[in-house]
Amino acid sequence: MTMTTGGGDKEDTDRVDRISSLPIDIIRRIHLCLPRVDAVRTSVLSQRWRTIWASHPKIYLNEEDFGAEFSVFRDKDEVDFSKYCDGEKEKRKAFLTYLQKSLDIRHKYFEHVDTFFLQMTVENASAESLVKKWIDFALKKKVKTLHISLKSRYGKRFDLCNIAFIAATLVDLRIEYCQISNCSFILPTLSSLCLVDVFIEDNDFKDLLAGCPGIEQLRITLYSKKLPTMVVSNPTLKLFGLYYPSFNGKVLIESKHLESLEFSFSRKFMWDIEITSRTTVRNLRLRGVNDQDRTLTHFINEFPLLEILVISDCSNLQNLYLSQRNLSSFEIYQVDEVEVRIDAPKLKSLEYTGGLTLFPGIEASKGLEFVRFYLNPEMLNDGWYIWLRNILECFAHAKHLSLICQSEQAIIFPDELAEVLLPTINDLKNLEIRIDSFAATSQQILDGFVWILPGLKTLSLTLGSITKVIELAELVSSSLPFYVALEHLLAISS
Amino acid sequence: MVKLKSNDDKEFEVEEAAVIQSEMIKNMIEDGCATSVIPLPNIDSKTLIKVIEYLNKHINMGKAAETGEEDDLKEFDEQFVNMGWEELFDVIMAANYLNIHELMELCCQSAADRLKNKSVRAVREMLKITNDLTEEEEQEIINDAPWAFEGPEIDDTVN
Repeated sequence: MTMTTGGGDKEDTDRVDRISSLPIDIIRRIHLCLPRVDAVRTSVLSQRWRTIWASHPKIYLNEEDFGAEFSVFRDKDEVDFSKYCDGEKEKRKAFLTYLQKSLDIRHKYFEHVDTFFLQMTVENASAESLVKKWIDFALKKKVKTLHISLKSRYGKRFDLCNIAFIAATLVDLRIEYCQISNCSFILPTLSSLCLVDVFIEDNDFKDLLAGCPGIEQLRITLYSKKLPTMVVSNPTLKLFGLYYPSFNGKVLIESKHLESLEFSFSRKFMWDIEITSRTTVRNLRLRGVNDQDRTLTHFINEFPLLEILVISDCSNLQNLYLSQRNLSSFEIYQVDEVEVRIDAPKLKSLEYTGGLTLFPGIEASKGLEFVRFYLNPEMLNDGWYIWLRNILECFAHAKHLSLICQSEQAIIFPDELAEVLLPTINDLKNLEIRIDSFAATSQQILDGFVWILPGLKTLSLTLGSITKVIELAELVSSSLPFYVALEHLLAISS
Repeated sequence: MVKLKSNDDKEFEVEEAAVIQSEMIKNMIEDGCATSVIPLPNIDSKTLIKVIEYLNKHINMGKAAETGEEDDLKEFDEQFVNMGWEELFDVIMAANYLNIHELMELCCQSAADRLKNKSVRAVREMLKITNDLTEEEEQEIINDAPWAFEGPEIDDTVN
């Protein structure tokens, strides 16, 4: 690498200022990769650089870049500035001057704002006034994406009271940890709205939705009890998501073109969910539903035209019966031992992790293309291997069957079980195995596993980061693994 | 194969799968405008060779992620950006013109990494920027945000 070094102020004939002649978009792009403090430091390089640091149409203002700790999920009692030590007070001051300076520069020189992201604690009236000025500025300058994550002192929510959210350009709005009261909303182009841990009363919520006539996606992560019944009727709504509400409640969705529903619950709480337009829903994602089996089965089957279904962390579930003629993709994660009956003739892909779940009737889904099992057994006992054998048998007809395991023990059948595991599974032709951490060689894995699959033609075996595709013909011609196993079997039975 | 011609009239053959990482060339191919040689009047052969080296290495990005070859790719990227400022700017301009998103990101990040924690004097020296601010202006800027100009992490060396 060659670089001019040293030299002080001596005359340099090839002294060409390349960077300053680059297109401004490229300089801004480099700038955006810089930590904020370094970006501000470039303001003193030369006249041209004085304002570049505050000129990017994407604006990210984050107190964390100035050393504040803001993370909410790390600790319920969030950081507040009353506890700040002296050094951090300096950082705090730096952040506020940064906010003020960059707003001044933008007011003077730059018109266009594309994205505005602001995350900070608003601890006094002057900070509050600055925040409101910034939001106002972004809305006036035709911002498309607005994300604000604001807290007040002592972990309290910042009150966005009396702010007029009026913008004919805003597409994506995300509000975190605030309280919304007496705001007005006129957002005709808004497509996506996300509220995270926001306090909002019924009336304000109604005003908000009424001000977003084109909304397509609404996601609410709720901890607040202030919204006991949620009614959503925007006809344009396609996706509704409710995540981790911390109280029991009711949601009524009257939107006629709803396509996707996402619910994540923590175990304690029950929700009454009413959807008027069930036949338009194509995607359903459910997490942490703690409900009687029949209720869950019933709930799912009330949507007769599902194409994608994802269920996870439903620990009380025991039986699931799906009758879905259009279902194409089904993922089920982190459940205990469940019996899943699937009547889904168009099913193409299935993914699973969890206990020793059986899938009776899956053979009837003739078009299965991709089946993935993540094998992370809690206990490796006889039951595990018998279950694994059954899974191989009932998914033998899938075009691509993959087993992904943390260690090879999950798939190497113990010799002493050989008899119990017979007969062999003859119609499984292709298999993919991925093992993240392994001690065995690929030959040992083959010997311990493949004998049960004499019809196997290709095995794609990934150990760590290396993938080998093993052609079956080799196995059959040498037939070694199979006979090795057979010898074991004979030895056991004699 | 697709033929590319640099502004110093050298021709290079590149596999289509590699070259379509350039949005600009991909569009040309899709529109049927890439029948013979694609002239690249903004890129010299030295830079084009670098860009092609990158394209060839990143040809199967998706596949690499699946087979766990990301580490290898990461190492390549680290080596790749180990070049002087002039060369880096040439590659950035080429990546911008050809619209190769990943390469652009890689090079801009590398440029930013080199500037991180550097003193004003060091940055001016590295980038050959002539200071046209008066002493008063300079002091005024520093006074506005003194925290940006002090601290133990600031490094006054130019490499």
